[in-house]
Amino acid sequence: MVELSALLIEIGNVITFVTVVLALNLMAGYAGIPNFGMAIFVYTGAFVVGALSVRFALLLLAALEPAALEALLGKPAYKPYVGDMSLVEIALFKSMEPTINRSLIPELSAVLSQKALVAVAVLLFTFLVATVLGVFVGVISSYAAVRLKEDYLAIALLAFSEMMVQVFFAQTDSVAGGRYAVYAPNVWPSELSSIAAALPPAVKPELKIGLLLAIALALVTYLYAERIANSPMGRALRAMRDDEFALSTYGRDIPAMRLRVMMLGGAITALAGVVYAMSFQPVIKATDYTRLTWTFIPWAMMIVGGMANNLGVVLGAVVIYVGRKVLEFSLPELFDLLRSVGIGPEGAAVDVLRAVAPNIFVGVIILLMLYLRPKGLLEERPGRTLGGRLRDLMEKFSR
Amino acid sequence: MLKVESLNVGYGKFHIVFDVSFEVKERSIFTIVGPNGGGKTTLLNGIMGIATVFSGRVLLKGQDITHLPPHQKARLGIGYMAQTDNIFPGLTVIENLLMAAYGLPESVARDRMETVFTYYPVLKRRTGQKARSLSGGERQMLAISMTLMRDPDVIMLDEPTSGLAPILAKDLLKKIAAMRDELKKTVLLVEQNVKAALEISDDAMLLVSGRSEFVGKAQALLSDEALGRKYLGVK
Amino acid sequence: MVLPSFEFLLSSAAAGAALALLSMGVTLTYMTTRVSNFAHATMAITGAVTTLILLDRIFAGFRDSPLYYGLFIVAPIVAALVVGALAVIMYLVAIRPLIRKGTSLIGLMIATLAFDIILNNLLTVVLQLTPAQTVGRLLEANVKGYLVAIYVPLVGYIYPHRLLLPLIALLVAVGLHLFLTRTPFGISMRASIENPQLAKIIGIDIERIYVVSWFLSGATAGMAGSLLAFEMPGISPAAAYLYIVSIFAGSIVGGINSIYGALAGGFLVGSMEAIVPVMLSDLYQLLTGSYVDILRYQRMFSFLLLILVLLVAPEGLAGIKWRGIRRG
Repeated sequence: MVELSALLIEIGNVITFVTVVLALNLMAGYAGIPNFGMAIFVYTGAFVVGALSVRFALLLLAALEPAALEALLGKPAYKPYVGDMSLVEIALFKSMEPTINRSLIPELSAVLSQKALVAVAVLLFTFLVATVLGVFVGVISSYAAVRLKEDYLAIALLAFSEMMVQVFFAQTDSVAGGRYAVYAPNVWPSELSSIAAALPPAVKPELKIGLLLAIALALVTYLYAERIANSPMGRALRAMRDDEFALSTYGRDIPAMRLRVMMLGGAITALAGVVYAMSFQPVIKATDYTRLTWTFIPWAMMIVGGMANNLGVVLGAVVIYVGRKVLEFSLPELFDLLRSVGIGPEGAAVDVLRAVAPNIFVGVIILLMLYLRPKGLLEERPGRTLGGRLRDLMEKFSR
Repeated sequence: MLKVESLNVGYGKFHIVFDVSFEVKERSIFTIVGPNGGGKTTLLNGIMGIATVFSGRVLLKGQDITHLPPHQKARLGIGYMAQTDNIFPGLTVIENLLMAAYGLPESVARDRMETVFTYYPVLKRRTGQKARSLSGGERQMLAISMTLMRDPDVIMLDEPTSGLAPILAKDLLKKIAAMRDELKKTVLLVEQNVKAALEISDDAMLLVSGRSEFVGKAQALLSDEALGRKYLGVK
Repeated sequence: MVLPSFEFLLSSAAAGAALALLSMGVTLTYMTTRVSNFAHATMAITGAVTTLILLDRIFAGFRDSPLYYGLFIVAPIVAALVVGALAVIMYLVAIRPLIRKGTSLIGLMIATLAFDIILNNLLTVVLQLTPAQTVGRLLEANVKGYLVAIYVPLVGYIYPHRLLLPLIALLVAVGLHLFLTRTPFGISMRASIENPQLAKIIGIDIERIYVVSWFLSGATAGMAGSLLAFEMPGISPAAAYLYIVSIFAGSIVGGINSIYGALAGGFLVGSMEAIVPVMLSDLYQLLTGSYVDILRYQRMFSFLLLILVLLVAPEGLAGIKWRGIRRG
């Protein structure tokens, strides 16, 4: 039972990565925008879940069910933290206080499961706000650099993401999900949960709902990305990536096109972050959304799979994720084997090596792929852009 | 002196020059002419090692230098003046000249510089100036001087007269002839100024669409009316 | 508001000096090989870790003798050599083969990120296996009695070792200027940056220049990291992620195509990061009477400066026509 849900969470993680990589592929693979700040987009979704949806739910209760709110926030145990604040003030300013948050969230989840209307409202709010914030972050992170060469864009995006993670890490209260963890509430009405509970397999219903949601999001993203790739816009994007200058002479507004892609990709990534935080990682901490996990690994997945090939990057996501897990779990046995011949690491070194090996593995894989198979496992299907067609023609002639 | 054997040259995957062969004899001027886009510059770049050589050989004094890196070719005795971007605008005149002798002992470099100043005394007055402040003619002088700094056996000049006033161009071609006659250099020249160039040349080649249409005496090319009308605008 | 103390100004200058060195290194490899090196901050941390190991394994044995001071001289030099060699290895193994294959700019950037991840994780291993993790505290424990504060009239007490970072940065800046303008090799480096193809044609081995530029970039990063180790509260590979924003901010603020610009931009960003948040905290306290620690948001200031420069003058300090401005 425990193992099964652990496995399902891993699957949920893979599917989250699939969505994130598809979004990254739209930005970097098709449009040539080197988004080295993916992490902040995923965190945006998690932030909405941890910080905004909880406050929204509490405010909604304040308006619709004051008694329920009183039961949630009016506890004597909270007194030392809140003083003589009003309930609304507590909801706004103290609901993220670690001690309060820890006991508040399970209770809030229980209340929401009984009040279907509020739960659905919170759910809609979460997705809507995450989309809007994803678009917003897409714009502010790249606005200053969309006019400039791609190296400036890469630096600006990386710097923005790193800076924001540090700003949130510095937060100890009031905002949420910073240095101390906050928790994601369950926003599923009991009716939905009981339907989910009736379905196999026998794990927590919210995990099943989360998985379905993640799959749906990944599927929609995939179909959407495929549609864009084969549309006139997709051709324009690739033309922009291959030759900015030529495209701009045909009257395309490159900065505007880049911004539009950043908005789209930002929104998708933030939504993936929402589903991830709600269902697979309900303990939300800014420091978990590192450049390594949510920027570098998606890039690795994209490069291994094949840039500008949607099926390829999905494959890449699975390969890298599974590869890392296999390495992590097989290392102790490998060390045992090595020790039996007297050269294996001992003591503290074992844990350290086990923690770093999957990361070093990804770094090495990237370098090898760039060198040996720069187009990835599945290559971009060629010949759809004018530039690409010309290139193929040239190659044919030169042989 | 410089021998090219069925050379195929291009950039990346683009094939531009096909199966070109010729020989530049010692102390002679060999001129390559032909329409624009015919691959003349690519051919010189291929000889120097800046463009990709797909097949064929380049021999300098009998030694196969085809795949040596460009800086080694320069040190072995090929001086190459490119058509554009042939000086460092951000460096001073003296720095430009010193760089052109990079790796040689400093006393040798100073001697060569004095020799060069006897050809172009105007440069001597500009030594401390950034090269970007020079006039077009002075830049061309500097570029040629840089080509001479290593005292190369073979000098390759890519359209040295382009952008010069007719009178300066004529003077420059005279200087090139003097390089052969007085400095005893071997010159491989690419020129738009066909008639004037062929008149000072010993041998010549006509390069059209990356293929050699004629190799032989410069006088023969000059007097071949059919070729002249077709490709060179010479009447 | 209280006037800033000399000690505070000195530590701000040290932060600025360290960043000047780091931004200069990033700019140098960008100008020669067109690679934005995202592993640069981790290289600096490698210098700090080298210093830590030197202190822990070698100099801890001299704790009762004045030889202990030798750490301040030996550590930056060893760190410079180690990290310089590392940068050369990175260039030869990871970057040059890709450049030769015609890898795109984005591909090269991701390659440096990959190297960064590898190096950062290796450092984690090294640090886990090193007992001491804080040069500062170790130094305090070991150097008592040797680290004498000197009284300077009008200024107060200062610790001489704090002058080291600004002093060395200044020396490096002057040395670099002389190297680039007075030595044939330095001039050939400038020539190769201006026009690599022409440099090859006239007989300059630009590959050698690229290798040297990576060495210089790594060596200055190692030196800066080594000296920063004395200022850091603790050394961890994660600290690299703190520095990378400021390093690139300094490089772009200075103008990504100018070495002198990078030195100025790095110094500006580094010292501003140290001074502005503290001044704002003081101001806030003066106005509201309550204290808020703005220093923890210090990287935000470098990012904002970066954005401002990208919007207003993407060419950076070096691209501004100063003469034109002066004439009005």
